[in-house]
Amino acid sequence: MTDLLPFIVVGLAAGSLYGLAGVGLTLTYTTTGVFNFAHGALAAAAAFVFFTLHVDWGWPWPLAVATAVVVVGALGGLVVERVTRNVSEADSAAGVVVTVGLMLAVQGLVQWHYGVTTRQVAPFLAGTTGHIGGVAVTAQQTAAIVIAAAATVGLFVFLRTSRLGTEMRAVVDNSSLLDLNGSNPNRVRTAAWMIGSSFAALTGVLIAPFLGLDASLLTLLVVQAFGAVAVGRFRSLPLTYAGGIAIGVGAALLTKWVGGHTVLAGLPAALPFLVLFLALVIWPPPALARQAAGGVSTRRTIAMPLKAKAGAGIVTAALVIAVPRLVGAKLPTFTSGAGFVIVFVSLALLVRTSGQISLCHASFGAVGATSFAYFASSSGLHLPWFLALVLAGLAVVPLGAVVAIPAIRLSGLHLALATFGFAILMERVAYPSALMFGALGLRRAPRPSFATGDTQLFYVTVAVAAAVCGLVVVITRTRLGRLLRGLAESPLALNTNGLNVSVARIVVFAISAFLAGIGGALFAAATGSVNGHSFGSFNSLLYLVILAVAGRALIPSAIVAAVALAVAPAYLPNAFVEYQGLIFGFTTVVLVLATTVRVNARSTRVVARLGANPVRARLVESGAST
Amino acid sequence: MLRIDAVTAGYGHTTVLHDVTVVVPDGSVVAMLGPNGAGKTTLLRVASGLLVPWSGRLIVDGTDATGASPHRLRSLGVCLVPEGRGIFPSLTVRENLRLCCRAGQETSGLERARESFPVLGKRLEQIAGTMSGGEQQMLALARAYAGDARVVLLDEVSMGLAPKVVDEIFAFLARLAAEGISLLLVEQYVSKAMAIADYVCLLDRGALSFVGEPAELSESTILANYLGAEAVGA
Amino acid sequence: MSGLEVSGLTVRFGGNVAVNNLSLEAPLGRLTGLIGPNGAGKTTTFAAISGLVRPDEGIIRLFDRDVSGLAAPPRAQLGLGRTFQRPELCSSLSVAENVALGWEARAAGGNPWRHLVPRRTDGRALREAVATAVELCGIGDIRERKVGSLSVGRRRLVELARVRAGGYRLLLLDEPSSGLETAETTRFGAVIRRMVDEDGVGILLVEHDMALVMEVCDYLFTLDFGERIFAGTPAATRASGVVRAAYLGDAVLQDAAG
Ligand SMILES: Nc1ncnc2c1ncn2[C@@H]1O[C@H](COP(=O)(O)OP(=O)(O)OP(=O)(O)O)[C@@H](O)[C@H]1O
Ligand SMILES: Nc1ncnc2c1ncn2[C@@H]1O[C@H](COP(=O)(O)OP(=O)(O)OP(=O)(O)O)[C@@H](O)[C@H]1O
Ligand SMILES: [Mg+2]
Ligand SMILES: [Mg+2]
Repeated sequence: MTDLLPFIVVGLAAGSLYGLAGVGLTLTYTTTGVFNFAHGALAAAAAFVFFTLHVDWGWPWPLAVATAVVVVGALGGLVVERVTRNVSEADSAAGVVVTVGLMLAVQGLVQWHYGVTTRQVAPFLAGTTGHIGGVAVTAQQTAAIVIAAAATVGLFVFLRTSRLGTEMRAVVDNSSLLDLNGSNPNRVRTAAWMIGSSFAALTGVLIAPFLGLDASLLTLLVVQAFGAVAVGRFRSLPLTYAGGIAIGVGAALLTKWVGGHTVLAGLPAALPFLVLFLALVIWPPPALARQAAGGVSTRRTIAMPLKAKAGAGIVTAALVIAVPRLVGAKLPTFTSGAGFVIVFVSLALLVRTSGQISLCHASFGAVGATSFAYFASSSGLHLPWFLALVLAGLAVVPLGAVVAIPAIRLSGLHLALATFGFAILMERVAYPSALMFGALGLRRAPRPSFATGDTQLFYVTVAVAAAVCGLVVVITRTRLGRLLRGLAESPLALNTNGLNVSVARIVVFAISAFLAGIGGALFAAATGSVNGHSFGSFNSLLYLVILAVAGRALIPSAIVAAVALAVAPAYLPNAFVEYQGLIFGFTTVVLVLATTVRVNARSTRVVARLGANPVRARLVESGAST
Repeated sequence: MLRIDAVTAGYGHTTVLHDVTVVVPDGSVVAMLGPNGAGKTTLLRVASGLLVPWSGRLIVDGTDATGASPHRLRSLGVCLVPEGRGIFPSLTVRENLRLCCRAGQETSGLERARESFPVLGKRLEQIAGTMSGGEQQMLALARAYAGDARVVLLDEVSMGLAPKVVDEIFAFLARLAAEGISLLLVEQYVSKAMAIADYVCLLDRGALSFVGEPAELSESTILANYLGAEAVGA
Repeated sequence: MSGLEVSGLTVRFGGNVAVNNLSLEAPLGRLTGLIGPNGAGKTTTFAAISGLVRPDEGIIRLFDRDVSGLAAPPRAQLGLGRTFQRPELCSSLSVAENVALGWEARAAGGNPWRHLVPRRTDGRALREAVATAVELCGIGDIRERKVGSLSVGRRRLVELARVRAGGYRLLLLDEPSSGLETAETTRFGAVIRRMVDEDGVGILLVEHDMALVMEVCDYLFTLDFGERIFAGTPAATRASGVVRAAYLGDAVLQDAAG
């Protein structure tokens, strides 16, 4: 027991902070309906601000802590409220996209300003406060434990007893009714976001001495918080806090036990995701009482007239055919771009027609790529090239099903969380294993024997991409597409009309995973060899955000997204690749703001503060007028 | 006094209300009748600040409140009980009632609501969204009693209520009016509404076709105006 | 007897008994009413019949088959359709699309293959079903309107058209006429009467509009506090002292419809 004690103390301190982060996240989710993926990024920003003030400028620590928490909390709260205001009652898909964009933007901003290397920082509270069973407890650890507990209790009491607390829980149900009751809903929401952001900021400041100052590490802290939130079933603050502690202590103990085993080395780090995943599956959160609002993003596809469509198609085809002549040595980039068109189309199929969000499409691509390498290469099974391609796609499907089936019954948000947890789990545990990228971290993938030249390979890849696009268009136009559009708005109606709701969702998810696997495989064949880095967990986030920025039309947006991700870097300075997250995240945020502004400008005559759902009201307006 | 003055309003590119003027004098009950889709709900949305009119003005006690937000109008004493279920489903009944009242007057407001609807008093801790449709409607209606409104706008509040309860509700409305609170009442129970109304307005396809006292309206005029020629034949 | 039979149904929520040992039947070709005060347990009964709530006790038989253990979709597949007290529609889809969706949902069921590849004859059958239903419910003029822009009354008609197009044999209608104006209510009564008389479907109707209920129903069950307090023809129900005391009140009938 005594040899476990040091680990328990470390775990308690870390777990308290996970709990603190989780509590802030739960607060904003229950009061605004938006699950803030940028929570960890705010923590990172606050940590950097604090250490600039304290270490670089020499401010006393209490002043620096207060300033960092208040400034980041208030600013962050204002920004997040503004950005999410018009999606706050819309579907979870829009909320995920916006906050993921915000997360990439904030994280990119921090990295841009402070660089990517980890800075070690000394604890700002020196010394120890005492000993428990011979184990020294540092002042920093004590502070973390005490502050987290106090903040949680304070928030709990505030929410239960104060009028503002009640208003915060009411605004998510029906904000216009709250308005009719005499409280300004935007003010209530801003207050909630400010408190939530302050919790994030406080977590960041307190945890940095343990983790070091590293923007991506601190941003990922949020995932520990996801685990805690799932334990709290997305609404209970005390349970969330307890979940955080359990994760912290559990991870610390695991670190001790797995000690020397290399196979299990990734396990402690993966614990939060396992907790997230298992909590979602074993103890599914109840559906929110409020009416699920419909899939907003799904219906606003731009309907081009048929002639224009045909024209655009012909121009695109001509351009694509001419590419090998035009681009010279850069052709391989275009070939991998064509591979990415498939990945993006598969994602667009999921997001746009069913309002479901996957944050693990990069992992699907990775599994497709490595299994393709195994099936096709001479050191593997050496199957015919096309057969290997199809098998690579099929290999992803069962994996996709394992992630999706438990979560899909719940909601779009839960699916997004489960897939994100899965992506990180894959990256940490599966990528290094011999089944995937192995110790070398690299896999070679062959070209087809009939298309060994760059130009031929380009045409083969484009042909497959075109076939996939055609297939996806057909799917969205036929029964499955219609059912999914209906499901996004009223699952209950379809359920009582005889549809097994999960089947439709799983079918589209499986198709999407299959196509993503094929896209990954083609990318591997185009580049000749792939490493895990091309399919990191953050890439999935980037895909989603780029796709959102690339427009609303199904196929064109996928093509634009693939060009932006895979082709543009070849023509732009290196900084573009380095700051892709920042650029696209920022663009998402700006676009969200700009669209709402534009909608308002167009209808200056009507500022409809209407119904329970402003976005929907606007959409209905525009739908009715076209 | 609430005055909706020459208001034109609608959604997107569709105009719903054409140059409508309605006055609710202090302490009086105005019944607003009209067929489905006539624009009654739209009119109440304008009066409560949910929808900003394209032209025309909204005047509360002499102050121009055109374009004011719903919470500002609430502080001027205008209270809307919206169509459908105007409650916060995930909050308890007690919390719902608390939010209906001004800060500081929660206890007295709660008492008034319990007097009006004993059912609610027995279910203070139930999550509002799990109550039956009619119980939710009573909770929504409690807003009118619990708060300290001066003009109450009611949009088909008797919808989905048992006949006995409907009778009780009209008795309540009469009591409310007797306390000097003005009411603008949209109702499907035409004759009940007429019985407590001081003035009646008929709204047809977004325009007023009649304004006057109930006695001026014969049953047949209402039928012809309200139901349209097609329905009379049916 | 073929149709719906409920026996000994009990549903509890925590300590609260919403439905208590309720038995009723709604045979095909009869318009059966279910009335009772607010909170009597009517919607809960519907939820239990359609498979959305698991009853604590009781047996539900549909077309002579015990369906107590089935989930909602298979019950719908057997021919049980329903509408909701608060219309469940997709607001961003048009009226016609909403009506068609019910049919397609039933056709797709739980078969993944049928989600992707409709039967050859489906296209025509669907178009016909939608056209008939839309026409019967009198919403032909708003076929292409988005449901989100319709008033509450019209939405109820769209929902009715959806169950009608789905070809269900037994319908549960939860306050379908609330929010309809008097003329539309009358029309609505005629529509459901026709569905019963001409197509031979069975309907179980929950409604607070007594004028409509007394006019169209063949038989009435009255609930109070989850228990059946009366069963009989509309005339007998109106005359019953228990029903008057629990539900109707005194001065009801002369102006229920205004
Ligand atoms: N959010 C909206 N967007 C577009 N059109 C709308 C919207 N809400 C209502 N309408 C349209 O405005 C018109 C008037 O609707 P309104 O709801 O005011 O009617 P109403 O008189 O209250 O009818 P009911 O008796 O059915 O409640 C209708 O034609 C309706 O379709
Ligand atoms: N999920 C739930 N949890 C707790 N109580 C519930 C739940 N659902 C319903 N109830 C209670 O069960 C009782 C019956 O409700 P139900 O909705 O069946 O009534 P109803 O007869 O349809 O009434 P109405 O005519 O007002 O719609 C009510 O008292 C309600 O508060
Ligand atoms: Mg209305
Ligand atoms: Mg009910």
